Amino acid sequence: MSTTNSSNIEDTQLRANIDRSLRHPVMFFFTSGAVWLAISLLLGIIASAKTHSPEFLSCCSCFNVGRTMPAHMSTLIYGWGAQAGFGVILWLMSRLSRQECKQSGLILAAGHVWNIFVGIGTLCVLLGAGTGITWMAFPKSVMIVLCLTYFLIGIWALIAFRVRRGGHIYISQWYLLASVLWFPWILLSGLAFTHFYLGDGHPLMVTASTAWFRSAIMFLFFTPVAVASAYYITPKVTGRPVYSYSLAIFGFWALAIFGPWAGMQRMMGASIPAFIPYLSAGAVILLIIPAIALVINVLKTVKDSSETVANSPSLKFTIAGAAGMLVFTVMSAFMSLPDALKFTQFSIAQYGLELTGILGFFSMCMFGAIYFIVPRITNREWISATMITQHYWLFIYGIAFISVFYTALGGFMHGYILEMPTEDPSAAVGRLFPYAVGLTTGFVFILFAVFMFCSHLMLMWLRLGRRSNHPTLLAGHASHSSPHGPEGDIEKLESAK
Amino acid sequence: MENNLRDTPLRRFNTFWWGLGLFVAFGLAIFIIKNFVQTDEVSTADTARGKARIIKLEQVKAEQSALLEYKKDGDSVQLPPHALFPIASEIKLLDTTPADSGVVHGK
Amino acid sequence: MTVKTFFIGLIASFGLPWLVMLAIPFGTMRSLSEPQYDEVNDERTDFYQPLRTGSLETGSLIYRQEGCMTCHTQVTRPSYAGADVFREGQGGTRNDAERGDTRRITNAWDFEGEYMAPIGDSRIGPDLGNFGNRVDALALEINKKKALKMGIALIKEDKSPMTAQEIAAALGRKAFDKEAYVYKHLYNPRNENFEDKGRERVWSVCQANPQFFTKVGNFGQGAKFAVDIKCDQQVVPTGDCKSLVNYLINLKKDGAVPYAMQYSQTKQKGAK
Repeated sequence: MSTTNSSNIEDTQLRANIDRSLRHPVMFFFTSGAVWLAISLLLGIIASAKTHSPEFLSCCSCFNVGRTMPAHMSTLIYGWGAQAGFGVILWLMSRLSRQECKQSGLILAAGHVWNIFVGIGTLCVLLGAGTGITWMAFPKSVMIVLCLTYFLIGIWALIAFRVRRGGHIYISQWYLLASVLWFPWILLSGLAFTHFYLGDGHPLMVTASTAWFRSAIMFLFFTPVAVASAYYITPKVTGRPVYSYSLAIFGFWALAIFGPWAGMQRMMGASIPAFIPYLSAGAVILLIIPAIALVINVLKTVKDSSETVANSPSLKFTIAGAAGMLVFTVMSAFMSLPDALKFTQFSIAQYGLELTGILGFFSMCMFGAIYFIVPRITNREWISATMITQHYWLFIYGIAFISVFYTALGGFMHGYILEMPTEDPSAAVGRLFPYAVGLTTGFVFILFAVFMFCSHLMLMWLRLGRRSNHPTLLAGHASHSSPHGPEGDIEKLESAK
Repeated sequence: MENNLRDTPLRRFNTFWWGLGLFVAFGLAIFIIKNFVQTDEVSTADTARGKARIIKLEQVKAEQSALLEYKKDGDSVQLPPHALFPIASEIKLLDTTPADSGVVHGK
Repeated sequence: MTVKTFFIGLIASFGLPWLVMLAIPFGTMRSLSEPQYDEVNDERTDFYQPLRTGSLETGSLIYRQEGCMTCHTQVTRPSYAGADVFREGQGGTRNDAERGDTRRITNAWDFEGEYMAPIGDSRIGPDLGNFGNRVDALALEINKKKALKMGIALIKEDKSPMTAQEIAAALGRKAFDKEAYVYKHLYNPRNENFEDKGRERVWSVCQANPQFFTKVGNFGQGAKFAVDIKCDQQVVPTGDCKSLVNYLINLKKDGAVPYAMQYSQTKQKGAK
């Protein structure tokens, strides 16, 4: 056997070991995250339905918009977003550092604590004991536990990076490392300025810090995780190096430098120092730069691999996610232009924008990563290519509809009425009606898609997947130039032991 | 495959503590920097009202004490109260018993 | 890029905005001192003393917990950031019987007494920054109608017009009850049994709030604020509801400000 061949086998063995070491925690994060996503969408549908049909479920106060809306956002962020992020961070970091995880039991335990407290927090919000602070609606004590639990999860990514094998540090590792560090910084800052120093500062600055928190979670946690996954999936599946490494590094620093300034444009016109909202608006506009860097890199990398793109679900979702990032940042930039902000600051556009960011960009990249990771850690292949295709198209349809119809069109229509001083508030409600119905419809599509995804993932979790090392390809036949190695190589290794 | 020289239990162990340190350090940094940059005085509507009241109180005090100062107007002399007490006790002006009101107590 | 440059870069790029946007404004805005009136324009020299009434702590907590901020804002932005001031009743009113033009933008002292300024996320419902004033105006309008119907002259003996309080006092128990109005709205926002026909809010998408009400036996004269009476049971507001309503009907952000803080074209000298 030649040397290259034996190093190939060792390499495959190492990857299989890494995957096996992380099987339980990562699968747990993905499956529970997917369930939270479905719960969040259900709550979102209730909240949205109640804004156009207020008598719907009006028997029980726990379904009021004022409660379901924060519960919907909290489960979306802490239930789905954070957990999908944790799974991807842990797996990618171990794979890229080429080191297996030695503490999967502890991570799994921390994951359970995280889920229990997200559940408690959601119940508190629904029963009227939330804080009412947007994106931090869970009670203070729950947020503190989540923050401490995060440490027990995030630290293993840091350790994996410290004990990495080999000299080169891949671009995704920088993004992941940054997200691992940013997340607790943002969480602690948010907690400090809104909860710990409550009554210690000016009420307007407390509100301003919550506005900053929201955008920081979006730009400094969700974005780097999603971008890291895109920079991993794209070259891995196409089998080609990233088009421009320096452009990727440039995009990273653009995100790191502009990201933390964003968010406070939501306070435009409130009596805080006037430079703050303008600085934030400027930063949001400049955040188009990292999005352009990502899109150029992804599209240039997959340029000559149209067959792979058509066949690989991971790549399809990732490309859609990269496009989602561009749409999201361009939309946020337009909505943060001080002249447009008049219309969008208090219109439904802001909520629609958050949905576009979390569902259209972050979740798309996460789905891409999950479709790539799960077969590797469960050692099974996805059962049905049809279900993946349905998930893809239903989700794309739902979120594109929400972005275009609800966020862009509805946001400006609502804002336009709000800017007409002679119009009665009833006019705004009347104008909102079709867009609210549209949002509910979009959510229903997304819920169907997530139901497909969730049940598929559950079957994989039960290890009911196909016993194959061929990647699930949407075209239904294995490509000879598959980057995942020849059929059955891991089985051979296992039996040889 | 080459051995990974970085992967030692010690390195994993101290990374854990470094990570914990970083986590705690940031928590402390928030507290310290916030206390360092913040102004000592907390201003509320009450403090503003308090300021106005203190100004008024000082004015009133100054006017009152000005009224009680030593003053000579023709034959009559006004002395500050504290100057009068020793003289009053000397001439036993203060050794008086309260007058009987004529009302029987306890009824 | 080495790990060292990465860490230095990360801490610097995060630390600077963190200081400039969060820590320093947070730390310094707490000592924002009240502006002083100036002698020439305001004809007085003391400090601006914004006064707030109502159940600020409990009421605003319930306001946040129930997620009112999802659909209601409490801010009147300056005209560079929106047309809020020009909306009648939002930043004040154009023709107040006693004070004239009371419209103004929300200032930093309007949130005095609250831990967090409930700026709000969207305006699916109307802005509530001056809700208290709008309820007052509604009460005055309805009371005037009632007084006319009952034949009460709205002019006092010395020929001066009666104030809102005097009209309400003259009507006695028949006067429009602001609290009861808000209770009814919270119980059923499409208040079907609103006493001023034609002004019902059938279009409203506000949520009904059964959690704010309890059922008690209907006996004696009945509870003052019963929102619904069914056979021998009546629905009355809970303590939380009372705090919230007290907070809401006291939401007023139109008090006179020093001349230097007025941005309207019709600046008034000699603020009262």
